[in-house]
Amino acid sequence: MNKKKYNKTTLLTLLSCLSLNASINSSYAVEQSVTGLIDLRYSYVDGIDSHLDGHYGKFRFDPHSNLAVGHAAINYQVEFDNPLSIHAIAHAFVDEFDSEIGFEQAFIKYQDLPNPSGHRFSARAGIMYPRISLENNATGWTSPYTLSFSTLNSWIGEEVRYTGLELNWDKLGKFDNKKYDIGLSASFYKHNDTVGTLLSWRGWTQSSRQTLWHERVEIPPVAARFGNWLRHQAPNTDPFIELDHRYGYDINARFSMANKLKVNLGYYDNNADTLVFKRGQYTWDTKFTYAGINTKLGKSTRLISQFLIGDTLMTSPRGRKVVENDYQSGFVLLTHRRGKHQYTTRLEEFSVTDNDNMPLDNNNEYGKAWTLSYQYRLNYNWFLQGEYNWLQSNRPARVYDNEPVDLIERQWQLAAKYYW
Amino acid sequence: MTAIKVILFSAALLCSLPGYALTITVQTVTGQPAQGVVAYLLPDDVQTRQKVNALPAAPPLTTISQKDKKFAPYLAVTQSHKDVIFANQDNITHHIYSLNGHSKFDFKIAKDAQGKTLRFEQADEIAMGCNIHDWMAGHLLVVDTPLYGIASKNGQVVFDSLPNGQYRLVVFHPQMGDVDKSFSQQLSYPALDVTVTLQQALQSLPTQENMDDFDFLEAYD
Repeated sequence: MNKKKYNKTTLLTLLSCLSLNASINSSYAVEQSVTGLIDLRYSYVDGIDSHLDGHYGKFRFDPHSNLAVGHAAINYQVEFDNPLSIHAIAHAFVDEFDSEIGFEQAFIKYQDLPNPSGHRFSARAGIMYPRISLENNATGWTSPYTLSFSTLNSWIGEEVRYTGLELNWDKLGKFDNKKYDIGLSASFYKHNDTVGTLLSWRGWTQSSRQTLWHERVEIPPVAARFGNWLRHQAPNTDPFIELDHRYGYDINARFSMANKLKVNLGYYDNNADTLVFKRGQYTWDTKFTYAGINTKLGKSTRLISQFLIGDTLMTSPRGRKVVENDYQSGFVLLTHRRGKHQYTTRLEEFSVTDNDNMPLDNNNEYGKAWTLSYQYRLNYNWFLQGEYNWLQSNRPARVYDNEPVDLIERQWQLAAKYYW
Repeated sequence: MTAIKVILFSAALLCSLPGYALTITVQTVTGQPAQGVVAYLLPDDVQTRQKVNALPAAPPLTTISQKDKKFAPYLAVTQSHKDVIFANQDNITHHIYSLNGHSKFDFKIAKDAQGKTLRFEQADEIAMGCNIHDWMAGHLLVVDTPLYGIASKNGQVVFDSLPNGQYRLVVFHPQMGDVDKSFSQQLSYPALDVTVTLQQALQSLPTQENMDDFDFLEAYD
């Protein structure tokens, strides 16, 4: 990934808001806490050069052996003696491509107490993930189950994050002796105007590398970029840039039943104005529907499944449709824990359908993936994990990079993870 | 009162003379020991109340721990005007609350924090939760008497050094049915030991377990 200059104004504004809030509340009891993760990783890839290096490889690492700091994450929280809390998550990665450190998320949260009927209001404001992933609920938005995230959530980690306001309503069933809770959220946001770029020009990937808030991501060598109709596109995409000054929205509904079942549904629409083109970045109008389920099959076995389907549109500043794609991805993950041992397997299927007729830019893709992961818990904080990823895909655009259209890529990873 | 069968055991006569312990045995509708149910004795006249108030040994302080993201114990009892200590033994922050009318409270308690002390001025049945971990559920029963106990494995609550007098016996558990919750029994001590049989089955206890059971979850969504 390439560095870019920090969007200093927004970042400094956010940080000064955080510090101002802390000083205003200095008369309250303030509790600070820091949690984190270090993930040291060895990988071996049998495939082609990685998408992180501007190519079409589906995995995070390049072919052959690699050593990397898979994750170094710090989650700093400040809890006030009132409904407010502050959350800042910084993340660092050190691998063969770059060493990068920056913000992953940073937001203020307000969570009121439920009322006697079990209705509760809460809100978040800042840089945050939408409530989509059912895999990435551990420190630093990592997964307790696998080293590489599903293709669906790898994309969320790379392109889908926003700066905005999330309003939540929850109904806790225990207040009227019901065994289930329900919740609804509505989010309004900016800074997610190019989402869809990577999915279109590069396709689905299976990664564990989230884009940091200040980063840009290299685009693969789509033929139309070189002296042709895509020549004005910058060589990198900036997933969290604001171009059209319009608000996008995300609606989420969820249902959970005791400790047995969670269902998550939602619709995301960045409501982008595709006529805007600035600093080499096109505005992409991207919409998708997502659904997920997390259910326990007995005491120590769990099934997680998610599905996402949507479309994206990019036009010229005069309104001519130039990229118009449909896409979908789904997975089923099964995990079983026995004492210190955790066994996980995941099956996936994904596609991108190119609906425009523009030459030199074929975005079609179809693929399947299979993951097998074993984790051993050494003690409370240390985990050792071994994982095998197999991914078969058809992507005609790989000819732009002199790579085969049909390809099977394989990845082996070993990791030592320290959570605290 | 009429809804509950009270069986007096004559065999226990020797044990219930003044200076001997009084044993209350609570059993379920199926006759099994009702472990965990609270039994307490309220002085029922002025003279008895004076004797109870003069009892030398105060009961130990009640401590409610937050351990493994659960309330431990699930059900605690305290006397009104006595300190209750909340002790967070987890390495994360909890936000404990109760919405009960006259016992409403909430506070955040960080890891490694000194215990939070609360005091309740009147009898109440207090349901508690954690606003960060919604699956946590606990109960605190506040009673106007030092004479209380939680039924042991064999369903027994033993009262030692009980002053002679007139009492009202009450039993309580959050999972009890309404019929049993409205039960109380006059008791004149010295008395025979008492067995209380609940009329309704106890509901199952909440598991107090999160759906996602990884130890390093991010609690910000």
